[in-house]
Amino acid sequence: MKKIALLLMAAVLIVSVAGCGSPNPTTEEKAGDKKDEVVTINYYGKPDTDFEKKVVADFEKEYPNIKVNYVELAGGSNEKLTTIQTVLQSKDATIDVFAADVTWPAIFIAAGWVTSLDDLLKEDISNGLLDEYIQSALGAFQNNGVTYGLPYISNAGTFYYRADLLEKYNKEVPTTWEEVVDTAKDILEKENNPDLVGYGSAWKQTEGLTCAVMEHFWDQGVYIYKDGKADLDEEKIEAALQGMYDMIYTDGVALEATPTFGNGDVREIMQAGNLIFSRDWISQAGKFMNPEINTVAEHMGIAPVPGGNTLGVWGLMISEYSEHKEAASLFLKYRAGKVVQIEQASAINQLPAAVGAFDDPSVIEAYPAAKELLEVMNHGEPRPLTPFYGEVSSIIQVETHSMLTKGITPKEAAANIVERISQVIH
Amino acid sequence: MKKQTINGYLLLMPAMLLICILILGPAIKTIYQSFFDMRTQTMALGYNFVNFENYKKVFQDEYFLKTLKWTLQFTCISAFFQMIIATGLALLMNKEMRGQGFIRLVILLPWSIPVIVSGIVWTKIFSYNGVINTFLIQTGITSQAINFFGVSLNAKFAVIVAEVWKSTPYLSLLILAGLLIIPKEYYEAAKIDGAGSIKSFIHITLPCLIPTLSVVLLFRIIGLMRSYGLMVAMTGGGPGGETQTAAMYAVDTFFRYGKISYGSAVSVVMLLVSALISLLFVNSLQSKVA
Repeated sequence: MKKIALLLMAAVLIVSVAGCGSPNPTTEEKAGDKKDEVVTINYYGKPDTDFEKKVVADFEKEYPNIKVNYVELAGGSNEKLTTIQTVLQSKDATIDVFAADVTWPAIFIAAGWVTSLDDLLKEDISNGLLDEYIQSALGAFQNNGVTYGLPYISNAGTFYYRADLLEKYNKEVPTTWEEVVDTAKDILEKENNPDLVGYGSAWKQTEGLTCAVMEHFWDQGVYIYKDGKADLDEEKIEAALQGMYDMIYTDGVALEATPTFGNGDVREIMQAGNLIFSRDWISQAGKFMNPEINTVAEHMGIAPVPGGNTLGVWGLMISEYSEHKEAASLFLKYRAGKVVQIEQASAINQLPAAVGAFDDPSVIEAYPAAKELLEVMNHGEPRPLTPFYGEVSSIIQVETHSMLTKGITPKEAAANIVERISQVIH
Repeated sequence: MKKQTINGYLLLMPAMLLICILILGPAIKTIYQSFFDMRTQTMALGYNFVNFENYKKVFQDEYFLKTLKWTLQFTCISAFFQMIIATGLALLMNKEMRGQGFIRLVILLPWSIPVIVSGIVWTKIFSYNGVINTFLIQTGITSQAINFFGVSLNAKFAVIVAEVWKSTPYLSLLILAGLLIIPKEYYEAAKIDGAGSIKSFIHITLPCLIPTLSVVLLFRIIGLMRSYGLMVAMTGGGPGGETQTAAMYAVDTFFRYGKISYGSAVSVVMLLVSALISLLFVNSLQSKVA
């Protein structure tokens, strides 16, 4: 009996030691040049229903020598970043290809964690591969003329408006924040509807707030970080913040609860027909135009955001520590290719980043305003492309939110932003 | 060494091995990293040993101290209410009555819901268009919605309510276990001596329950000091960073800002604060048991 117990213990020990071994499933299947050798790559992608699995299956049919192990990246953008960063920081070869948010490349490139595509896709690039993409989206994955990733999902800040109300009062679509306030004030006064709100935006203390604030900064001509150095004009920053503050507390075009709103809260008001102007994302266009979801769908207008449209693109990148870079680049090219991007528009409602996809009938069917959306994307502005973006964004969020909830004045917020960001980027 | 002792150690080996790999390893790595100037953005250029520089910075970092202060406030207030309510719920679950199974199920339900889901549900309850504001406006109690997440005090109140709701059931379950081991003879003897239920509670239940309550409180304090998910889901740290906890700050510093060494130092300081609190409790617990 004792012998059996000892044997069992030994077995448990062996199993636990084995379980704690290398998590890299690819070590046994080193990439080889031989055509008949099967290589397994790990793809850390955005989760969806079943579309990514279908893409992987289609790819494997086309490239029988490459097996793709699809790992779903769970959580929000920050949680995804944490996962990727943990693996790459330990120089682990577990990740080959991964989906990257628009603000990550600057960090990863500076850390030397991602590989350049210039050599891996040399032939394709010389044949004009890069020209196929929306240049503003592609730019987020390039540094000093070197390409580190290809965009595959388009998204950008978008300005939605009630075309019927603008038409009723003979108003033009606003192109500056000042015009937004003036137009909203005028319509609110004439409509005299206590439920109607002039302007809505997700100003909750999240990354979305940084995106919204940047559009106010750009309107004032201040970029925080431009051409490799800090761009912090305190007066302009204060003017932008004062404009946001006044929207709530002076002009009354935005609700006092706006700083507590996430995207969902703003959408509820818009879809109930109680919002004149809304700053949302391109990805919402399909739903806003759908009469089953939006009670005022037929009256929705789409325009660029005054100041600029914050890019929210996702792209694909290859880990520097991947042991199968070539196979990974083939999958990257396939997943970010026009054909798959066209499929994703109708399958999972994700707007393509390849210019050619916008002319496809199935994309136009999924996004009737595809032409306007491409225009919005062409005017997309990246958030400050600095490796220290995370800290910069956090400073902007906290100081702006303090100001929007009356903790500090716009003047104090501007001074704090300049002082604190100056310490991070020089 | 006796054969039985060797077998005992052998049985402990797998668990010890896992603890070493999954807990001790990362902890040592974190402490090690905290003495360098590692940053994600400059890792490719190498890093230097900086001695206690990061720790000096931590204690001069006004944002960290602000998050630490809020974390301690949040911990004390939440733990206070959780202990009182959990004891009440445990007494209720310990009572022999009809439908006890159903009562226990209802009490334990919030505990089974994932933190993020609880956070989202409570956000919906406290939000501008949420359940509370809709109720208050429709019943005419207020004409304007209460701005729960836009005012510091209101936001803090909201997250404390959510935390108390979420974790109290677990504590009540632990306290119930403590109640079940109190010998019934004590109560029978007290009854014969003419003691009422309040006297029995003060003179029997409470003294017998103190070791359990101490352990439960210790668990809770350590748990609350690490609060992260609920705040992320409900306020994102807002308004203006007022509800950002020390754990959120540590994660942001390490991962979002890429300050590997400084983020490690923040984590080590938090570990020391938790260890200090735990030591105080273990001492008091030992004296109580003795």
